[in-house]
Amino acid sequence: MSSSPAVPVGGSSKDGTGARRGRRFLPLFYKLSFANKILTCTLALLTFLGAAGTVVFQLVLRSRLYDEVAASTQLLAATNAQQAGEPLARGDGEQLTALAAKAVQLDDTIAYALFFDRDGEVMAHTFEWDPPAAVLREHSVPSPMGESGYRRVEILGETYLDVSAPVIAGSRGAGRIQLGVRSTRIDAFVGQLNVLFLSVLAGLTAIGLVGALVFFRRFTRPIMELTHLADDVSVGNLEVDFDFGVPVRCWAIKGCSQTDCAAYENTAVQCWFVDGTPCEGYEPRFPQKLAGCRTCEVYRAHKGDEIVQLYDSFRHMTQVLKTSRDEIERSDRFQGSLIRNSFDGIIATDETGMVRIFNRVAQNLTDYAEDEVVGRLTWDQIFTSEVRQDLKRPLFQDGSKVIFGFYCQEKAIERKDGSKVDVRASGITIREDDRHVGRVFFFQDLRELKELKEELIRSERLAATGQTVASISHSVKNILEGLRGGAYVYQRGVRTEDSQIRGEGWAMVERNIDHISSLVADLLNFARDRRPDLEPLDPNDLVSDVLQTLRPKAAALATSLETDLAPEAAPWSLDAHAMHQCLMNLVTNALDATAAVDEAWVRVSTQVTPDDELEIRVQDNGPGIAPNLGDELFSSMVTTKGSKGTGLGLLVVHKIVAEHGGIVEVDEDHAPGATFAVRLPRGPHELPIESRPAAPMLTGG
Amino acid sequence: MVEMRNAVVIDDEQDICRYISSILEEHGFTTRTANEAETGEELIRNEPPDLICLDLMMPGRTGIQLFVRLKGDKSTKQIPLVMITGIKEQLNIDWAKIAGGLRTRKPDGFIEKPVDPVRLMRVVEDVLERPRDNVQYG
Repeated sequence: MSSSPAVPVGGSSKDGTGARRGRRFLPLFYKLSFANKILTCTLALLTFLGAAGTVVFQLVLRSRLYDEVAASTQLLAATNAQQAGEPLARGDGEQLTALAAKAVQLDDTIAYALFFDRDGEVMAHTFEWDPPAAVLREHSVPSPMGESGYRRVEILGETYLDVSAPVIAGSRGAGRIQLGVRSTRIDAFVGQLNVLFLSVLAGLTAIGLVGALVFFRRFTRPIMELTHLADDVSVGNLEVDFDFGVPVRCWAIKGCSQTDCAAYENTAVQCWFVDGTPCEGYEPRFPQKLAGCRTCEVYRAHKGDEIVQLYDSFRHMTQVLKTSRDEIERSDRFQGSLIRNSFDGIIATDETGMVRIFNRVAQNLTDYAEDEVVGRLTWDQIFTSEVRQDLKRPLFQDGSKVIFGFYCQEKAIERKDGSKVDVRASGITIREDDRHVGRVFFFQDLRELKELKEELIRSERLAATGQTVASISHSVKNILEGLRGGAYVYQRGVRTEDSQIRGEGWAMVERNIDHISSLVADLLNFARDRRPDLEPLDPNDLVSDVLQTLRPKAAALATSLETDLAPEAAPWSLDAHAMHQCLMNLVTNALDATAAVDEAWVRVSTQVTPDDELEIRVQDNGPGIAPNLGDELFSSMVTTKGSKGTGLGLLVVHKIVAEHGGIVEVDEDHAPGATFAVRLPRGPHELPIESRPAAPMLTGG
Repeated sequence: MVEMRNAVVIDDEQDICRYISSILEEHGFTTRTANEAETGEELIRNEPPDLICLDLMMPGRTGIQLFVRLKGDKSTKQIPLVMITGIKEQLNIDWAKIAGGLRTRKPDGFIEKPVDPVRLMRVVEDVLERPRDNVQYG
């Protein structure tokens, strides 16, 4: 992946180069303040205009003066040309010389005079020596007759206006006259006028500059103040002081008499910044209330020119920043308090992995002080190394973003002394715009939880053991009571020689011997951890055998025993002894449940389900099973038989069925009455380990 | 001829019922027995006995409920009632709590399992000889 070249902020490189070039050429100009820039530009413009005006003025004025002097000289030349027509036609050099001298004498601005004949030969002149070549050269090309005009010539470094006029003799041209006028005076005059013009211009410029200076100083002062305020704000000082614009007197404008309002007669504040003003129709707090305040006459009265509006906008901006800062500080304090006082350990790092937040619980758990970790340790010096991989795993989707990390996993953290502490931890990698910005970890100390859990297990085990012992003791006690009673009644029969009473007593003894046999069988079945001794059996035979055994009991209770046996159930892999005990318990329970029921019945059915399971159902029309017993029916010593029950029967049923790889459950669809359904897979099958029920009384401490 | 005293024995365990009634019969009582509270209550109301022996721990709290009903009813509350119980600390029992918050009298006497015939008869005679006005309240 290639990185793009750095581009200067604020514009293209081309613009940047141009700007740099400009700054190089005008370094001083860019250092000037805004006002001085304008002044400098104004000065440069005025100077340019003055210079240009001077040049133009000089050119125009000089040209006009030249024209004027040339025109008057032209008249003089024409006068002399009239007088010189005859002598020139005759070729009278002396008279022409006299005329030339006279022309020079009559007007002291005339420096020289020359007469040329028709062929351009000099006939007379006023020079003390030969006429300068410049004068002659200028006129070496014969001009057409009648032509007049002037031109400027240089003679010995001095400029002259050389004016010529034709000399007419009769009706034809005889030659011409050239008069030279010194331009020095004109130039001096023009120079004086230039000086005057420039002086006036300089004076006006100076006055203009001073005026502009004052004006721009006043104009840019608020901008400078705002610049300084912006500088303050930019470094975080939001407590800047404003004193600009018309003071707000809302109470006066609105005729308000709410003297307890913070804005009342308080010109130091502007009412739209004051929270909870009693004005109606506005939001109570800034900045929400500003939208309403903008339509208020108080705000409109305050609103001034662009500078005032700029100040107001700046003030609003500062106030919003202050409100936001206060809100952020409040939120920050709140979050800080949450983090500090959290029941969980919290560690947060920056993008480099350096710890930045290390709360109290984290300190207690690791034994590090906050200043020993923050800015000094990285997270992987606290958490063990497997956390690194876990942090890269996708955890959940937040909108379009995938959050990486792990949730509620058991990890170890390293304490200051190098020992490890087990914690339950969650860790998240924080990303913003696909950029890694840090990580955060939450964790709970598991030591106490584990101790509590172990304590709970110990307590539960003790409680279960106690319950088991109490239940069995109770059963044994009842059986002993029955035996004692049987013996007493038998002895009474012997004493009274009453054979009926004797028979009653003996029957009681026998019955209780049966009870204790059954209890011992249940205990053994429950306690033994064994594999079932499977053999192919006809389950229907087993059912018949059990019912045959219990028929006297059913008869005593006046309960009818019914069967619905499916012949296809045979053969099935069953442990004959265990399954006999299992069915005995279920049918005995069913019979006991029907003791107080008229027209009672117990029905046992077998069938092979579509899932190829043997299903044995034991159903009765007794009072049914209380719904709240459902969960613990097969997991604890539950009895509804009072002193007659041990609560072991269904535990034994569950264990035997589980040993066969099957399940036993209460079929609630057949209420009233209770229906127990035993479902056994076709064997042979392995005993699922998790199906072995706990035997707390024998394994517990 | 001395009139025979009449007792009703109520215990869900049939053999214990027979045992206690046999002891009482040997000491001159005629007995009627019931293995459920409802049947026992019927026997009592049909012909109020001189003595009631009631098993506290019958299934579904029916023994306790019957006790509360009998002691709350004017017609039966004077009949001496011996509670058959396996609980040793019966003197410390909060009877109001056992009776589901109802204020009730205490049983007139207790006989603890395993039932000893001599002790049973001592309790029975004691209960029967006690003046009826001098009953204890729980």
